[in-house]
Amino acid sequence: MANLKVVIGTLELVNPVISASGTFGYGLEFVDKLDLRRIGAFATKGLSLNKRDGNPMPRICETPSGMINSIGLENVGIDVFEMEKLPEIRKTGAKVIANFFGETEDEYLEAARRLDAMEGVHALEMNVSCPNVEKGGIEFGSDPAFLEKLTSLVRKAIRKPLIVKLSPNVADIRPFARAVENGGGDAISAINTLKGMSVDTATRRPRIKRVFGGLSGPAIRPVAVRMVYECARTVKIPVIGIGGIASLEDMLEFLIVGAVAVQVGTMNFVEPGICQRLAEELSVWCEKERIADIREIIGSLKTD
Amino acid sequence: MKAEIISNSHVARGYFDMKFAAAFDGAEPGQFVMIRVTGSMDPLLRRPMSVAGFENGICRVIYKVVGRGTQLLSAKNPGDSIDVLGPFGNAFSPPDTAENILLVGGGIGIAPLLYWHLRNPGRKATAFIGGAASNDILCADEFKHSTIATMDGSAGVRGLVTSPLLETGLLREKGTYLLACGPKGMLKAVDGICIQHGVSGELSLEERMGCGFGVCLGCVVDTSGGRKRMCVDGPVFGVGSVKWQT
Ligand SMILES: Cc1cc2nc3c(=O)[nH]c(=O)nc-3n(C[C@H](O)[C@H](O)[C@H](O)COP(=O)(O)OP(=O)(O)OC[C@H]3O[C@@H](n4cnc5c(N)ncnc54)[C@H](O)[C@@H]3O)c2cc1C
Ligand SMILES: Cc1cc2nc3c(=O)[nH]c(=O)nc-3n(C[C@H](O)[C@H](O)[C@H](O)COP(=O)(O)O)c2cc1C
Ligand code: FES
Repeated sequence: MANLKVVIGTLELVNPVISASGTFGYGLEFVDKLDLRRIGAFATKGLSLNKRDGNPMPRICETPSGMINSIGLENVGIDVFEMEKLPEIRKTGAKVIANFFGETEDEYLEAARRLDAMEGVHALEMNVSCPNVEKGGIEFGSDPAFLEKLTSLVRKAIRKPLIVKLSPNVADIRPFARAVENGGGDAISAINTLKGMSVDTATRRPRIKRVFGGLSGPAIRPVAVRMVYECARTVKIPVIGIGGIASLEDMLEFLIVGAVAVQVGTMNFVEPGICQRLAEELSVWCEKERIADIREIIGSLKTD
Repeated sequence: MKAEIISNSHVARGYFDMKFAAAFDGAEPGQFVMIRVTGSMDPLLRRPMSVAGFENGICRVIYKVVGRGTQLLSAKNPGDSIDVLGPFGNAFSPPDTAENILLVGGGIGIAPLLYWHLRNPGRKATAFIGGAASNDILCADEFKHSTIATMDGSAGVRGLVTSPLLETGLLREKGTYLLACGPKGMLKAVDGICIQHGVSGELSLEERMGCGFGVCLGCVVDTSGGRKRMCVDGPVFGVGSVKWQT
């Protein structure tokens, strides 16, 4: 059997397949769909200090090989997560990455401290694609200097591995990757959804109530692969590749360009058991290709 | 889960009645399945379809061709396979004390009501079936008692299905209970009529669904009981509980 173990900071994963935030609920919705111990980890729905109802409906629509969502970070809040979800999650034996966000620096810090203290949360993933209410609603992740500061503040406040999840809605992602590394972040995950829009021509209305939403699914994969490649070449900390993964082949693309692990998002909706299937297929593929250790693949891109 | 199509018949202009060998043991009236019409990535998401019947491991759905997904589904032949997950959601659950059930269906919304009717042959039920035109009136002959209304008057009475509903004395009878499924406008009107007449009942709602099992949060609805996910807490909600968006 090939060694599929990967390490992100102090987080050890049995294989590099992680299910992505916002597409896997709180994990519990999947206990009858796959064996949570057979995937690397799962990332929770983005958590905030207080529960949020998110954006008005309609807030999803299908697009060619993808979908747009403007859920608006609806979540149960950290208290309910701790009291009602986490005790159940712990019983599953899953590796848990708590995805979180805030609307102010203090909210980020407080949320991070709370999650850091919870038994059964193995790592934190900071979503910086959230509007900063103290700075006129510009996203936390849209200014490298600010991102570095936020990363460093949160890093100092917690003990568990800190993954910072980057937004692709920037002209050049490399300064943001560098900012996370300089701020002391343990890893980068990329990409979050791409800002998109879709119009119903019959009604001439946007298909999403809030007009814009985040595009995800196979449609975004080439953009994601490019950005993950750029990040991996820019920093030494591990990069987790996300964006449109639907098959073994897709996952290998990300690993080859330098991702240490991958996250699968939208495809969990279509095929709820996909993460386990991909982990199993990766194992079989390594065997067939006589690859003893997954690390032989990571960053093995040939450009000559 | 792979499921083999047993029949996929064109039953009226734009409508198909499909049966497939289900990988699940059964489904309750009101529940739905999520169908993946192609193994390719476009269209990507599964399509929600109400269970219109279930017998001896064979599941029935009745659908209207409205876009790419249902178009592809309609081109399938017996022997072809589709990929089905489910059943998902809650079910219609009229109390045993309800003596007189009114089934109000708009267009394709008749599907789950038909299943309830076929599963409860002993219960007194009257159907009110509405649609744009005569081809939108489905399965009327499978109900023991039905009244039809079409917008263009090509079948039954002309106008909204709520008109014949209001005209019958049934809403005023003791023990009346209503089950409805159809477009949002119809459900909202029916909800108001029920409240006005003090009639209890259940409404089956419809919304775009990303997953069907509670994780994408694309299908939420605000109710008197708080925020709910239509796919797992619904699609059936009690009369008077939905906070209709204006
Ligand atoms: C619980 C539930 C039960 C349903 N039962 C039936 C049924 O028994 N028979 C039937 O014909 N239809 C039913 N529908 C509606 C059906 O799901 C849509 O007509 C279908 O998804 C359209 O797919 P399309 O690709 O042909 O259309 P497109 O318009 O191309 O679809 C684009 C996207 O919008 C979604 N969508 C479009 N219309 C609807 C709609 N009315 N409701 C929800 N999502 C929609 C699609 O799923 C897809 O994601 C039901 C919907 C729900 C939520
Ligand atoms: C419905 C939906 C909700 C999401 N919610 C979150 C979230 O709460 N936090 C977050 O960091 N990312 C969220 N994402 C982004 C995904 O985690 C992922 O980065 C993105 O969808 C790209 O991957 P994919 O193409 O495999 O879906 C969400 C995505 C979708 C489709
Ligand atoms: S369809 Fe995804 S939560 Fe209801």
